Amino acid sequence: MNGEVRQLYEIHGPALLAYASALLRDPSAGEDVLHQVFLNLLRGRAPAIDDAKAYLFRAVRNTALNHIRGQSREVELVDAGIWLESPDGSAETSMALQSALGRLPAEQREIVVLKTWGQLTFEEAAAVVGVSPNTAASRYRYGLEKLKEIWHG
Amino acid sequence: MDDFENRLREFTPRRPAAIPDERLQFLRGPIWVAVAAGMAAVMLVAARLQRPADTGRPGAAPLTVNELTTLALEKPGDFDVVLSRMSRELLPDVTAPGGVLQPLSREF
Repeated sequence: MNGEVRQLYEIHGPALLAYASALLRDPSAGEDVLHQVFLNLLRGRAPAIDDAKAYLFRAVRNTALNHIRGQSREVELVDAGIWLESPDGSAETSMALQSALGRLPAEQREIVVLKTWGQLTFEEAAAVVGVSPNTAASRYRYGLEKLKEIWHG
Repeated sequence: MDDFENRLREFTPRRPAAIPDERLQFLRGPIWVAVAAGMAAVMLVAARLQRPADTGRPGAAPLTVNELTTLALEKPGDFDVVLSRMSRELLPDVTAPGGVLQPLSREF
């Protein structure tokens, strides 16, 4: 059991961290959320899982949303660390993309991240978020257009 | 849009740190309780060492933490009396001549 959980962490950890960080706009809090989800799995606190990948993304989403609910409304969300590494290794480029992502509406941002870095299909992403695949596809398209506009000015 | 999507995919999510040791997570609560109990014991011993003369008063032998716990559980009324007596005997008297309050009062 523990071996399987750790294997899932190895395989999906980076994409799940990206998703949690995009939701929270804070990779440190994202990592806490990710660890919370996997520690629960290691303690055997998980329902029977048919599709591990979909379950993990849903669990990370729920835990991240709980985290947000627990925060003060006064807290201003700002990107506070790198969770996406740029191909040229430039921290500045990474932060520019993360900042542009952060300016997207949250519902578009999460679909863009699920599809692009989570490598989920629209059906899978829609199931995680709880919308129809058409809505997911539409959010992705609008999100991508807006991201291009913001990122490249 | 495909070019843009490909450009985005060139960015890779960073690898998260290893999952914290679950045994340490499990022990986190008891460890803090043990540390707090240890600090309380050290402070009690330090207080006794600082005021050895006072502990020798007739009928003033301070009780151990275990004895105090038993007393608190079995005779809560007596516990308050004993704790008050021990506090008077073990803690410094800040109001006495030469106590902490005297030099402080000169500052104002």
